[in-house]
Amino acid sequence: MEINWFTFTAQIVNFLILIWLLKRFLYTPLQNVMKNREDEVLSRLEEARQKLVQAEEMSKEYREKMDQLEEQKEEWLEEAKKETESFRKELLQTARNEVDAIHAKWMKAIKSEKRSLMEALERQSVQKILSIVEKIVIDLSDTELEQQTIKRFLEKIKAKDEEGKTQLEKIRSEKEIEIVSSFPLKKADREKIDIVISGMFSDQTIYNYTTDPDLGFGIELQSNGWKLGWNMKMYLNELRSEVDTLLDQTFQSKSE
Amino acid sequence: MEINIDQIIYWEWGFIKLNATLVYSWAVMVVLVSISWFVSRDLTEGTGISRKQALIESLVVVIQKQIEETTQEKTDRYLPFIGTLFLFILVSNLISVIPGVYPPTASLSTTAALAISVFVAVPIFGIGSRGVKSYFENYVKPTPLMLPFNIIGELSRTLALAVRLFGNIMSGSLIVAILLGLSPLFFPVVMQAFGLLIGVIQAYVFAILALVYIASASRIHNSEEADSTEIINPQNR
Repeated sequence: MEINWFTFTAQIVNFLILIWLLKRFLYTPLQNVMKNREDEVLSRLEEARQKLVQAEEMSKEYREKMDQLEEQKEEWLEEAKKETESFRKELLQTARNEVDAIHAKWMKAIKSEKRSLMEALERQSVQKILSIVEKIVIDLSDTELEQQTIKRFLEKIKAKDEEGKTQLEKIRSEKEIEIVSSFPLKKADREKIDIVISGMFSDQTIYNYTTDPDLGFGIELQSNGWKLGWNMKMYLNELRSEVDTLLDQTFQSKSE
Repeated sequence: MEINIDQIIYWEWGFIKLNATLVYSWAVMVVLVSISWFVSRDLTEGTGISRKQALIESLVVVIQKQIEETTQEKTDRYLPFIGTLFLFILVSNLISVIPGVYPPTASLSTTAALAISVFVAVPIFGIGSRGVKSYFENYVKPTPLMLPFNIIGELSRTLALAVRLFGNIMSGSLIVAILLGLSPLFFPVVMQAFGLLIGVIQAYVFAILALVYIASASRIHNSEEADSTEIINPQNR
């Protein structure tokens, strides 16, 4: 149990040498290796982290872009829808307007057709009525009515002679006067007429008696473009012109 | 059976005596350096490392971790000294299981040499990290009256280091030797297994205590608190 001082010193030296050797062959190389590996791992981790960050940024960017696109798509779709809708409405409106115009035109055509038809119908019926009346009067006429007619004719001439001499003045000088009747005049009637009118015209005047059924019903005194008398046609013509005027007025107001 | 292996002398020239302690110390050194050289020959930095490299790396990492845990700081300063201390003592203790081989740590000369190395290393590391003034101020804290006690403490713990290791290893060898004489079968094997365990533990204790002494001397901040917590743990073994 004692210390050998030579051994003691030698062991200290040995120990120091061993420290140096182990440091040279064990610790330093191993530590270097481990340090390098650690650095590499760290750098890789850092790289991975940076890549992750980069990837996240990119993904965020793309997501934003996608969102934007989506938004824009919605907008575009909405716009297109609106445009389509307005275009559709426009087309519809145009079609409706056209239909309306055609309809109106058609209605107008129908109306005018109707009106002209009505007009023609009315005019024709008036014509028909008048001719029927005329026919009835002619058919119903007899001696009594003829006498009455002659009487009325003579009265009218007399009245004209008294009140409107100037009118008669023009024909007083006529050489030839025609007395037209719708029915054949008897001899007695002719004499009656002669008596009345001979006082009105000159003695040279020749009186011709003719029968003209076209006269309607009546008796007339005709000369060079001038006539005086009484017949039913005159009344009927007057009536016809009055009805025509009335009809014209009615249709005018209707069409307006 | 020799109690003092310094007495086993193989060669002598004047005061130079080549005894068993030195021979087996060299043997241990050769083993350690050979293994180190063999492994560090082809170290790779990549991920595909060889088994031997993984083994040695994990050993060094364990030592480093232990140093970091004890000193509470991340540093490589202590690794060569503490690591070598641990490896040398460990291998020295373990070769005792080989018949006819004497562990160098069973010699008080060796353990005293290691303890003196620690004794010297403490102020070297302390002054290195704190500066001369700050280091020596530690001896007169909290009052100059503590100076003699601090010095006695330093010396006594160095003595304790040397004697503890020597005692444990020498007694282990001695017990096995005695038991061989009493009952040659089985029992010595059990005691040898114990001896292995004790050898590992003692290597660990020696290294950790040396580390604690050095670290507490090098610590600048909250040194008192750190000293108290750290010294508690393995000193009383």
